[in-house]
Amino acid sequence: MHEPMSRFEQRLESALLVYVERPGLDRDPADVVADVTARPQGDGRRRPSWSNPARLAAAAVVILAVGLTAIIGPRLLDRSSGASSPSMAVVNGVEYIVGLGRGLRIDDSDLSPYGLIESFNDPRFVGGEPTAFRLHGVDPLAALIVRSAPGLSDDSGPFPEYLVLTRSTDSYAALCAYYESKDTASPTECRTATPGTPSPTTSAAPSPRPSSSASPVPSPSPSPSPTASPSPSPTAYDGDRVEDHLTVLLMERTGQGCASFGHVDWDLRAIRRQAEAVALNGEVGVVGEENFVLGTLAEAIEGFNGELAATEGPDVAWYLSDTDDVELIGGGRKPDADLIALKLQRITVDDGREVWWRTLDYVGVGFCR
Amino acid sequence: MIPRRGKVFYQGDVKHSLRPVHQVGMDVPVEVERSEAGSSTMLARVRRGDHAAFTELVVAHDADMVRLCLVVYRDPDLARDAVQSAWHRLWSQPPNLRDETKLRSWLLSVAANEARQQLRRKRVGVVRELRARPAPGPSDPAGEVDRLDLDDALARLDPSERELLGLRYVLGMSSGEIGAHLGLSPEGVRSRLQRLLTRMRKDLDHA
Repeated sequence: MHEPMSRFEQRLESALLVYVERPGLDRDPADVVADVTARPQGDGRRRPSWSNPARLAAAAVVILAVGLTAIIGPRLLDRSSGASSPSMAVVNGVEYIVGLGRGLRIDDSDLSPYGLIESFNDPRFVGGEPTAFRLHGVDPLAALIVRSAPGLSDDSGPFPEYLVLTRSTDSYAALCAYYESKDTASPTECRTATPGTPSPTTSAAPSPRPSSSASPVPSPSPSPSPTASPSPSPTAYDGDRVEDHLTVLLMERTGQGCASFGHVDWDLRAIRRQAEAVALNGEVGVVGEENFVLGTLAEAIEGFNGELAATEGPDVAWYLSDTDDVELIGGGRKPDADLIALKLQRITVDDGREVWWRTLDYVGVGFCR
Repeated sequence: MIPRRGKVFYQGDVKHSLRPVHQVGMDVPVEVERSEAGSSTMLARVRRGDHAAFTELVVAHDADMVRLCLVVYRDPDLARDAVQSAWHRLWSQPPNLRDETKLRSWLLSVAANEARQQLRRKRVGVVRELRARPAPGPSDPAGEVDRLDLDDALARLDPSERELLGLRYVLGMSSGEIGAHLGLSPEGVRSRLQRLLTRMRKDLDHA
């Protein structure tokens, strides 16, 4: 359908066509195809950047981090569920069975960071925290505790605050000190045990601190989590090696919990540095296209929230379009979709490893209900 | 056969020439019409891992995707990266399109969104590049000053506004096609374009 154009439009069209004619812009399709098809089909939901391996590596780190944070939402495995293939998690190289901690009575002072979830075999565990805690008085090789993601539920009701990682179903006996013996939600073996009595697998000399060999997760001192456990050794990292990230997990109800569809990640410190650089050059206020407002970290988060609200349509829809529902790309939004925003800190520790630590509770926007 | 505005035709051997011809009514050999008719079988073949089908889609759409991303994000590297990511996505996760004639729209949307996400990751665009404007003179490449003026004018628009310009004037889509792509009515597209043109005219006239 031909639509007549004014002279100005014709000029603009000509100028734009010249504008997009850049040397080297056209690629050899053979190169494009070779780069893409070198990867097997269906080998992942997200693609690497084409020409920048460093960006690919960075993306991998981010995805790993989000995977770690997203990893632990409870799917159930209540031991009564009789699941034929239990959900498993690996912490410090040791494999644990994942279960719900219904009936557990835990105070934060009972918990010490023990390690990060290294892998997980069930993608439906999403939205939780990547840190595994040891319980005071309990052998960490028998059982660990992980905070579950908020807002999840199954047929038995809302998920409890904690997940339990055990080496075997017998390991629940190690946790009886933290169960009420009269609570029907407690494991059978604990209902007859005397509360507070250490089980045979309980450490003889429980320590509130992780052992030196236990790869503790550092807790950054600048913004400790309100629910964080005791701080690690101050020599594990320094402030220059801590980066703040704000990560948004995009989730949707699945009928069996929540599923994560992707994430958006911002390096808040970099944003702030760039904003300050702009200010030093005499510009003020809103910077660039991202509408991040110069100011404190908190203001950056507020800016983020504003942006999130502003981009609730296409951006969110794009991520949710991973469901292959292309209609969403046009700006629709799944009614059941919800967002979770986490603030993370990436910390480079002395041995060069990177660990990620959630420093605030969820700062967003909504929960997967 | 007279190509209509809004369709892009390819001239010459598609294996060697990727240059789209945008002019209305050009009398050229047509090897590949980027109509959506062939896409249905293409997508099914891509889903089966057919390299030849995938190559045909790249030949047919890559240049437009890159150019649209370039207009929207004004960064050639970003545009190429974003489009490559879109191709990765098509290959690794071919969409289940109920209406496979929407493949072109899907590709353009994914490429634009990839660019938006990469822009966020790179945090480019936060600090605007300052360039020395070349003094007018015989040694200046023709059109360079105009290009800078246009780039400045584009920089003052939102990405969504630049996308509208790119769809209309670079890809040659009609208001109806743009509306179908963006989920707007043709009247809404025309109205937005008019507002944009008013701003662009003002900006370019004052440059």
